[in-house]
Amino acid sequence: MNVNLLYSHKDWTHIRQYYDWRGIVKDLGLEALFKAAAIDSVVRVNRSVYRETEDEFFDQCVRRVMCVPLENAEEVKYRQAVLKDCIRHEELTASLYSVAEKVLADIEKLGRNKSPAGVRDNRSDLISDIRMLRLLTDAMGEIRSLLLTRADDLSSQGMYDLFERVNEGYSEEQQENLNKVMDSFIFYANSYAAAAERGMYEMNRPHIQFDCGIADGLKLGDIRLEKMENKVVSYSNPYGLAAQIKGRINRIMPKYIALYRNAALQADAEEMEFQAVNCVMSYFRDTLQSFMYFFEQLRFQLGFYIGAMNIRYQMKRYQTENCYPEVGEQDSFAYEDLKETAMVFKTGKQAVGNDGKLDGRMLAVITGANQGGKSTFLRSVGIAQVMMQCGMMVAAKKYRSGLYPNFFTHFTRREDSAMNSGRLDEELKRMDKIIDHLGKDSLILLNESFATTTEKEGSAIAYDIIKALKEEGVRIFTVTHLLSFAQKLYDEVGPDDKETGFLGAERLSDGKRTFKMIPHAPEKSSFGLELFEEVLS
Amino acid sequence: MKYSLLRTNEAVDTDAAKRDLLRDLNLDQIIGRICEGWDDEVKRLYQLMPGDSDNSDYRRAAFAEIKEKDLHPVFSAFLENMRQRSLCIERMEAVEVNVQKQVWLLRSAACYIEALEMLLKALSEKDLKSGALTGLTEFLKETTAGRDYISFREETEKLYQELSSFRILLTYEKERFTVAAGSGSGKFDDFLKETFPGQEHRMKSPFLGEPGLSDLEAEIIKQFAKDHKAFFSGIEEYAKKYKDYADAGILGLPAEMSYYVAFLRFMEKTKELGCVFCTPVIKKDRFRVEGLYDLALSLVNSVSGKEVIDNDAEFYEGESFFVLTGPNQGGKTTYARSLGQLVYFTKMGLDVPAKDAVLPYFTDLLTHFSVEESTESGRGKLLDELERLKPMFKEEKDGAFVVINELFTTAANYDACIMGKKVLEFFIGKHCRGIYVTHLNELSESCDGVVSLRAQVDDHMVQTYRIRRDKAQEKTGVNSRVEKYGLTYAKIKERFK
Repeated sequence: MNVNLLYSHKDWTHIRQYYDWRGIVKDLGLEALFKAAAIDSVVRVNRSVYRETEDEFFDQCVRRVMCVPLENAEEVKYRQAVLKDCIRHEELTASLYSVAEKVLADIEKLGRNKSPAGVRDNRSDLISDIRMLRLLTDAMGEIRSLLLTRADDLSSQGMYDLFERVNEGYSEEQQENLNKVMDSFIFYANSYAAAAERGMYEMNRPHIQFDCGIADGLKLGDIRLEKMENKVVSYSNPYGLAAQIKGRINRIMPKYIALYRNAALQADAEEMEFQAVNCVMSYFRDTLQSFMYFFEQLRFQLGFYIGAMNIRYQMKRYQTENCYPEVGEQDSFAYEDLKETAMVFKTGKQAVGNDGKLDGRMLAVITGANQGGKSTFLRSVGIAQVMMQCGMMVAAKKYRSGLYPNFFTHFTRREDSAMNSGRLDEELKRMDKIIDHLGKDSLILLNESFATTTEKEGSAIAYDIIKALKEEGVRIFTVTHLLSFAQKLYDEVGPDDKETGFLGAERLSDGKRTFKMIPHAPEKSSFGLELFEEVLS
Repeated sequence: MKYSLLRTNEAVDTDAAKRDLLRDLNLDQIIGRICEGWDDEVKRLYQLMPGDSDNSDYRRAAFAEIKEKDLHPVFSAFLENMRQRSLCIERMEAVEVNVQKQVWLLRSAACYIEALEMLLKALSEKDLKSGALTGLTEFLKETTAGRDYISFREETEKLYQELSSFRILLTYEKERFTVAAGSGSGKFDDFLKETFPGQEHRMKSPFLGEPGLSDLEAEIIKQFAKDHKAFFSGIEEYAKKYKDYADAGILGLPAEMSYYVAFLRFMEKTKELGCVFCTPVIKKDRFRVEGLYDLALSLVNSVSGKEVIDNDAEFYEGESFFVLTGPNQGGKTTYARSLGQLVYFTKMGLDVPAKDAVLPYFTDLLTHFSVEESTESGRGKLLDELERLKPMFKEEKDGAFVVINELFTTAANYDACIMGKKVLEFFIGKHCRGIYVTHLNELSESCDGVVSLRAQVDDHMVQTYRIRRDKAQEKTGVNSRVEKYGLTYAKIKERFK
């Protein structure tokens, strides 16, 4: 049975992840985001108490879901709707999650591997299969009744379909039918029905009829099950006098084969019993597998939404506005009060929000002084984009953009940058590989690329590559210190070009920096020179 | 002589396993694939080449008819029944209790009868022409017509039916089993099938792994026998009477039949991979083959998806030996092997890996491949080569097909040419045909009857694996590796297009 909370038509499968996802995580600092996802705030369950617990599982869910981009607006809207529903029905979400979590933990406790196969060759495996089946069917019943209480109030297609699927795939009638079959072999997993009065036992006992042929060399073959029942028998101590007498009578009665005090016969009988129950259990093979799968998916998919909710709580905590981003035309790009979430989570400090509109401008060149907020801005774009592309809310008042499943970051890792050809080699190699993977709907963030060589050489490389990529319709944000490159572009197209935007750090008339990015021609003077003048004049 | 599907006379087979032939031509790989999942007995049949043309023709006619009349399923059914019979016999030999032995014997006899009757019925319905298959039908008719056989069949059927119809109802209640007569119904099974639509599972019989009776089974049979005394005394008598019911000729059939069935299945599988087969036509003094390829290479390449180039081969009047020269890695050995495989499969009476083939009957198939990895010194290796050549020179038969690959590579050029010429002259004198792969261009014009072939290269000196009639010539080629990695000027330009 499918859960389908992440996609309208399928469950989670890890396919088509971003190229070089690890690089993206590192360049954008996404670890801080994953950490925020793991902080489960109890405040929503009981509003009077604010308590935070950390559950690494949510981190894992968000991490894994985020690395596979959604590919169209419908998919994004589908997830956004489910997320809205989860936020609206927080308690339901939490309860559904905890049922899934609990049943999986209980199964884990049975101490067996998770992939159930119907045919078991050993008694204890079979017994744990039976117990597992009971756990899973009970939990499924719980899920159904939980969803049933809110069925009329579910607004997202994802949640409502889940309710319908559970209701149809495991109706009360089906539950009853399965229970009927399961009841026929209770004796196998639980021999004691209940303790009765002193000296007496309530025992679950098998009553099985086999119809067999003997054409295989007089061996029992072609066995059909005629009857299987659980009989609750209360009788005295099985080793007591009454049982002994019964056993003796059995032995002298014709046509009876008494198993009493005959270990070899008892072992054979147990084998028959095992195979009979095993045969019945193999009918539950699909149920076991599909329920197990269902709960694993349910836990994982809800885990993602709870992670997303946790991130939203953290944003609220740091007074960061958030919104459901809008999927616009492929060349659109507009944002209002866009903030770099990861840094907020990491430092706990409020961030500067940026406003801007780059509709139609597929190339954005960002220049300006060091420490002016360029890289922060670039990261805020990247983070918002990956969050949007996995259906989450983003840290902005408004955010509109196209979808870019082919998303790449090409950041110079400052800590190990050095002026040598080996570093440039490495950068070019990375670029070469990125170009191998570029295609339709591509977005690339370049952060001080090709700065590991001379200004002149680096500019030439950057110019060629970026010009070619722009012509191929790739959306590019580039933060650069390569002024001759930026200047050359600027001179070519001018400030009012419809396809290229030039951004720079805002400076107020008194020279104070606001760390905001505004439309700005490439700056000739750098912060260093300013500093030089400031100190020496 | 007893009946055989593979031979019509007593001519002695050539045991290819005693020569290097199978390895040289990579036939061991092909045979391995053909016999995958078959007994070693079948594999052995592929190592024995018919010693005269009648036996080859006998097989070819049989194989053609099996294909034409679609006897593959009939043969498969027979083989399956006979396999079941063998399993019953194995079980019979494995058990100790006499009454169990008798039951297994009965069951094996039922399989045997089923196999025979089905095969005979299917064959009688077809209008068969080939000697092997009409002979088989006759043989089966004869075997099944005897009075002994008829009473054997009747008794077997009666007892077997009775045995099969026995049902026992066992009721299990933890401390006891009750034995009663069963009806063959399975109400709980039915209930499960209803509750789980689309599913059906049967309970595994827990004791079938062991041939002997378990304690529980022994007890059950003891109870059961009390009510069926007639059956148990009847089967005791039956077993005494028909201990050795099987005909030796019939027991020999499965292996011989597998020879054809294995090849048919192999052809089916390899055709899916794109391999082509044809039935060779035997004509004296004609040799013309189209679309010939190395089957072993084709099997290997089909895994990696690489294409195998096919080639033609033809001897005109007065020609008898190919001398093949050309660049390294140009497909020379592959071509020589494919010719050898062609002759082998023709001799075996099977289809050959080519689009079309007309060739004469060859009395024998001889090969001599140089062992390149030999660590021996030059003289040692030459000696070794000459010694391996000796039995081929001693062969008394005329008219064999000879495949020689790189002889005398360690001898001086001048010596090697003279020796090579002598070898060619010898085999041509013996009315042999064949192919001689060599680096010695001089050999291509050394004597009458020699046809010069050359492995071709294209304008860029890249091997095309095409073999054509062409004069041996010295060409200094570009380093083929540079080509292979696409590093010449032209190729680099091409990559950037």
